[in-house]
Amino acid sequence: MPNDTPQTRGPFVIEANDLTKIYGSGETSVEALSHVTVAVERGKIIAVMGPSGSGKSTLLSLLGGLERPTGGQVLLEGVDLASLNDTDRTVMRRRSLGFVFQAFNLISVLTAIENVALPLELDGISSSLAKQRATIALEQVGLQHRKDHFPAMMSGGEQQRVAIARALVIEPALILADEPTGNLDSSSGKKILQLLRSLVSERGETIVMVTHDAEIGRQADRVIRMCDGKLVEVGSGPHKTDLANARRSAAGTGDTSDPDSPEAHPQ
Amino acid sequence: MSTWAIPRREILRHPGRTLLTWLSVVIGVTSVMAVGLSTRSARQAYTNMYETITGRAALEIVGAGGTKLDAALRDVVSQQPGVQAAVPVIQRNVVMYAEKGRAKLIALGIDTALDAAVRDYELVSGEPLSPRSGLLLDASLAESLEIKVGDRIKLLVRRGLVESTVKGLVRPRSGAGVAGGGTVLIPLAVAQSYFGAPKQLDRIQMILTEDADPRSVRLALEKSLPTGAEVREPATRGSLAQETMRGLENGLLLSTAFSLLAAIFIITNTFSMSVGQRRHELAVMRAVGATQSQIRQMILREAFLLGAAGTAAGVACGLVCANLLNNMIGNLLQTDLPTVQLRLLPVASAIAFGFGASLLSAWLPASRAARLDPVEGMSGSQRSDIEALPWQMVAAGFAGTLISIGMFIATLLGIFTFEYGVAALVLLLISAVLLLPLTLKPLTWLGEWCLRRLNPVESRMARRQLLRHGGRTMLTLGVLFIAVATGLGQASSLMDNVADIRHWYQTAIVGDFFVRATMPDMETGLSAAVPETVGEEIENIPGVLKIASLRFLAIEVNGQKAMLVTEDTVFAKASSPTESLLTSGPVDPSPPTVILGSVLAKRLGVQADDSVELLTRIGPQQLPVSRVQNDYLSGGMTVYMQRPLAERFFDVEGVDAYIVRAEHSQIADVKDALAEISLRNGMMLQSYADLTTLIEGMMSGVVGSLWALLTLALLVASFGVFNMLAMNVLEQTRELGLLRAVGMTSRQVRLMVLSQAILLGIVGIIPGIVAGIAMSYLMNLATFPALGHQVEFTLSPWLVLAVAAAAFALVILASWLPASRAARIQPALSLRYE
Repeated sequence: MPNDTPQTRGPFVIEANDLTKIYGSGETSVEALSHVTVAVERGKIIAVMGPSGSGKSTLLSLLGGLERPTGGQVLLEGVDLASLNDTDRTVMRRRSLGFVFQAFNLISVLTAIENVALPLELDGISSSLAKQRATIALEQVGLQHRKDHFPAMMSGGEQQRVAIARALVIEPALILADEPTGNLDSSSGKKILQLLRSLVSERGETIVMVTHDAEIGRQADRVIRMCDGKLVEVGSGPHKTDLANARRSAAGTGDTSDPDSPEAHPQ
Repeated sequence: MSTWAIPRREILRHPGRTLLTWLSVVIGVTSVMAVGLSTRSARQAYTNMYETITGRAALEIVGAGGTKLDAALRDVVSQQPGVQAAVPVIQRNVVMYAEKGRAKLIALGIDTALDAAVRDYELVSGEPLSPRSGLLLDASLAESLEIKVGDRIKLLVRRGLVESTVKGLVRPRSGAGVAGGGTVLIPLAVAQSYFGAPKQLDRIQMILTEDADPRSVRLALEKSLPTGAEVREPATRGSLAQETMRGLENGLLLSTAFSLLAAIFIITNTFSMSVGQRRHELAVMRAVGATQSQIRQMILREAFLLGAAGTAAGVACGLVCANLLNNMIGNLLQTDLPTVQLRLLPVASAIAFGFGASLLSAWLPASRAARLDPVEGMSGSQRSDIEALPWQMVAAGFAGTLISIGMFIATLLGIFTFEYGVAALVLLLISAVLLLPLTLKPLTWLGEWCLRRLNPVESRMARRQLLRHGGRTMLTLGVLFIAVATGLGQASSLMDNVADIRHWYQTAIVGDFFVRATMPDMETGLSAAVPETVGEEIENIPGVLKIASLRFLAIEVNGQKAMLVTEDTVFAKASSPTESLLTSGPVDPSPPTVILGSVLAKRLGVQADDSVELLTRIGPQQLPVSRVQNDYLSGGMTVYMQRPLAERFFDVEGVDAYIVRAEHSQIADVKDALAEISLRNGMMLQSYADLTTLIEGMMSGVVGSLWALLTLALLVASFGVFNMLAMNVLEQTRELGLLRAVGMTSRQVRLMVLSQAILLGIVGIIPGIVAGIAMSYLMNLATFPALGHQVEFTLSPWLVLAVAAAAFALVILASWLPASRAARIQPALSLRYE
């Protein structure tokens, strides 16, 4: 089991070092992600963009501990996800990571409040306490009045807000969102984006979001562009040198001169 | 909360699937409970009867081969050192007539002064028995027939109908005490007079002093006993009755085993489908933090809830069916068994099965669900078939086939008992299911080839769809295969067994009429005697060609309990044939021989021309066996002997029944005359037609319930096919919409789904028919150790065609709704389907 408290609390919520993912083996193997190094600072919204098959979703899965990398490591608040077994990784996920999916992915037989309370109950929190916290999370996304509705009785935008509440309820270190507006009309998409933005600005949440939408990219603190499984560009936001410096300061060396550090270079 | 809420809501969300699983549990639990309770009840009834009769006796003296004991022997025995009390008893079956009805009873002639030492009765009302008159009646029986103290009742005994006064009502302090309808206690001297046995006893029961060693007392007694008398520990269970029940129990065991197997397959199938259907949601749960163990527990909780609901209904149904079966067993044993009592072990076994089978069947799907990769599960692409059967199962199928064949051969050779034969058949079926994947590709290809001329595109796509979901297809095929194989196998074997029984009574019983008081008790051979004068009266009826008398006696052959059936020609006109009216063959009084029932011959390992040792009143006697006869009387544990010969060896007195053959032209007149005699003497008259109706009636109960089982099995299988096709259509919504968009008509879509059903039918039903025929043959073979002869295997083409047609019809019917749904899919909507 991972420790309940992070081993270190540096400027980065999550760091991916030299991350590689290969599917299959032999001649049929496909390298979905190739030597990617990236770090995510607290309280920022990061957009991951790129064409289909560029490795965006694979990166998100590896950052979320949904899959094990073929090579490299993922440090979530100092804990290497790749070194954990399935159960420990799952527990880490439900305590520290919130997911928001394009297809909402709510459990159809559970009501809104039950869907939101689910990760807490899975973690052994009592049903009544879980529901109290779920109610608060639903209030934050403006859906308290829909708490007893099943997913099929709600609009797409509402379902996505329930999914966001489910991600929020665990007070996650990081929210991973995979095309959260992809299945919504433009009006609902805007509202969801505003909600995510407000979570970052008002609550200090950290969000990594995969998207095709250039508008979302413009609103992000930083944009990571990917192509063919590689990081090709790190856009606005912390400069690569800033990033390296921050890592050094976290390590306590104080040395800020390392312009050729490979970490922030797109591979 | 959610961990219970999800299983509960999933159950309610899919009523069809839930019903199918629930029904499987119900059928299994019902079978286990009904068979367990009814057979235990019958066994317990016989044990109780023995306890009532033997009471607290430590030893008893009886006459070998039904020999009566001299009453003076009691005084000798009571003088023996170590014997505290020697209690004389005479025991017969009688028929009692009261105002409210007739009942078959065990009459115990007892010494009123001594009997309390052995039997512990409580006098509920009235007064104790006096030595010279009256009788004591079992209180519960008296209550059911509304008999009160002081009432006069009639008893049919050897002297004819006698009247007596009920002095008191008793209830045994220990044990149920009543079997075969109840007990009546009569003073010893009165009983000796009623039963034509003056100064004679059937047994002397002994209570020993506290310091006595039963073995030394027994040895000492053996030295002082006359020939033909033996000292033994009282029998406490009815071994002969249990032998009689064994055949029926084996049949029920086989049916239960098959229904359990079908239940487990169906539950596994539905849970696998359920997991497949919920793949996406399960993956989401894994993503948001559910561990593998939590997912497994969630599926198992669903199985637990369904198991609980199925078990509750199954226990209730089981209780009802147990009473029906109890009546059937009572008919078979020719006795009124007490009502089925709820007993812990059968109920606990049924409950354990209900929960155990549900959880066990759901374990594999639950484990697969737990291992589901969250990313793959949510992506909808690169779908590995989590319902698939791993290749190890095919290997297990080969291993299981070899093991089951070995077990079956060992059973046939007598190395293993019949239960192992049943287990071998069940294992063989499971193995066949595991090997079905090998037939999937070639048989679906064959099916596609057949359908290609009619609908080339639809049949090709239908086959691809089945192969794409190999695991799900295999599980559905497994259910269809098991239903067809067990249904056809049991039905065919049942028809062969019915034909065998029919052949037996048609050839073995050739009389036109039967006059009797009661059928003999299967355990003791005792029956209520026919009054002595009846034989003469029948002889004087014009039109009677031949009369044979029957007498039954419990004896020992080569140390094995058996029923001696003696036949004697009382009267025969010169023109009458000299053949036996009971055994198929001529009467052959010399040299002295016996005919053995097939089951007894098999148990003893004896064939025609061998010799057997009979324990007689003049000591052990070797007699040659003239032939072995297929027999269902007394479970085939019979020895047939002509009466003059039997009288040399055994104490054969009185008559239990008469068989009468009449002139064909005067049958109606003879029947009227016999009816008058029977009515006057309180006896039963049965014509050959009555008897065959009785036997057919007894068989029809079993046959009817097994046909119902077959129908149910096919219905349940069609539910499975419906479920699978419905899921396939749901998953193909996008593909079907695409096909509609590129020009496939709704009729073609419907045809494609129907083609899937037809292919499923071909792959499931054809091997099922082959396996069913093999099962039937093997089941008939397996009857050899139990019946002593092999029931002839006859393949009925009509039965095969009927089962195949019914199965195909149900499969097509089950596919109709999913096919209609598929045909209604709107291209535009389905292309947006998630």
